Amino acid sequence: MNDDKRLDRPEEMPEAADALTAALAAASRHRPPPELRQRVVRKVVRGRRLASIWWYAAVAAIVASVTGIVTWNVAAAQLATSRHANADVAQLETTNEVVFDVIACKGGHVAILRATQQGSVSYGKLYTCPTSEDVVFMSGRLSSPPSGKTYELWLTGGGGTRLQGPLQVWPSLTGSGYYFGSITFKADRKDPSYEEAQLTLQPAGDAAPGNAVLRWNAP
Amino acid sequence: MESSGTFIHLEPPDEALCARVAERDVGAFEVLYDRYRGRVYAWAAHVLGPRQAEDTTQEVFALLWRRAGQFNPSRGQFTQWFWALTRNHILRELRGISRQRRTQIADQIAALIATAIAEGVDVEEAAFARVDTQRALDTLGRLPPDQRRVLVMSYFVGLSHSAIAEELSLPLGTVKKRARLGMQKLRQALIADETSGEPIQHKEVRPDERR
Repeated sequence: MNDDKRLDRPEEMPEAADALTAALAAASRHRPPPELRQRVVRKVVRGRRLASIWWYAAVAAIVASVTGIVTWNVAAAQLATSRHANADVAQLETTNEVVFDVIACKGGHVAILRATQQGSVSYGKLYTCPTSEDVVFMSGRLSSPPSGKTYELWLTGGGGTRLQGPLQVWPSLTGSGYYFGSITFKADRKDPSYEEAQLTLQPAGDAAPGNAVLRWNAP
Repeated sequence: MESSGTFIHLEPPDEALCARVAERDVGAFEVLYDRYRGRVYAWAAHVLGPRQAEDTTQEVFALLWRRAGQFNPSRGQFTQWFWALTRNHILRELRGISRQRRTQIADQIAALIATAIAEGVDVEEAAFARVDTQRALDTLGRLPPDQRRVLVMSYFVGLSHSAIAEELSLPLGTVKKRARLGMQKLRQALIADETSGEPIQHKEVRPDERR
């Protein structure tokens, strides 16, 4: 950043462009509508599908010329596995002010809870803030909780494991079919730290953590 | 609740996500969309109008999807590449719009930013934009308004320094000086933030760095 040529144009200094665009977004009343996300993703996925279809069509035509069998279903199977689950960040818009304060906190920390089961796309994020006792946990891409069971957040620290409470979940606004959940609570001090975090799926009222669907361990 | 725990990075950096997008990873694309949608949309809405903002946002992210393979991390940060892509697209859409109209648009943007600097940031927006918008406003707030205005006119609507000079009835040297001083102050403010030890986004922190 010592090059003088960079000193008169924001476009040549990414930090300046970041500051300008962030400031405009903060000042603006214009927000992208939630449905735009699906349209954008659908557009790129459709483009990929079309490309795949043409590719497989070409392959199928060659194969058909030899064997007389057109294997369109190969393309279809390939396409069916191509879609990744939607992220649920848009759900932030429905949560309360504490959530925004904590996750936007300067110098804040976050632990990412990963799925314990292979193939699961669920995830969780535990946010803490150095200037606040408030802690926020959010989880996305969850399966619908079966009857009689709830998602519960259990945190381990200071020699004990404690239930922080059941997760409130609701269907994702993205229409992905997954569920999104969050819980906000106060720790016993500012900037709390933990050794383990688990999101379990178990009957409410159990005294110990049950089957963990998400887990984070301090390295 | 004492522990020696280390909290890990929120999400992969933009550069890693862009590499995954180049490999046609829709999940990585969605994360980048969520990170930048608010800023792209706001820019498009103010410069091109709310009606066109949706289409423009969609086109910008379609470009990201198609061109992700062209991003070379050895040549700069993802944001530099992405904002160049966004800006080129929006300025292309602005072709045919008069210089006078561009100046009006830029002045509206500068006024909005000035109001936000004076009044502070909406916490909802901070979460929405996924960057520390208050810090961005603080940084821009350190610039004198006339310097900030020149940067806004140059960046958001693509006015050249000579066009700005004509629109503001100022000598070209004055505009260039304002741009240069504005960028110098912006750079100093950003360096000061970098060395303050407080990251703009959540980042990996070692236990001995946390206290």
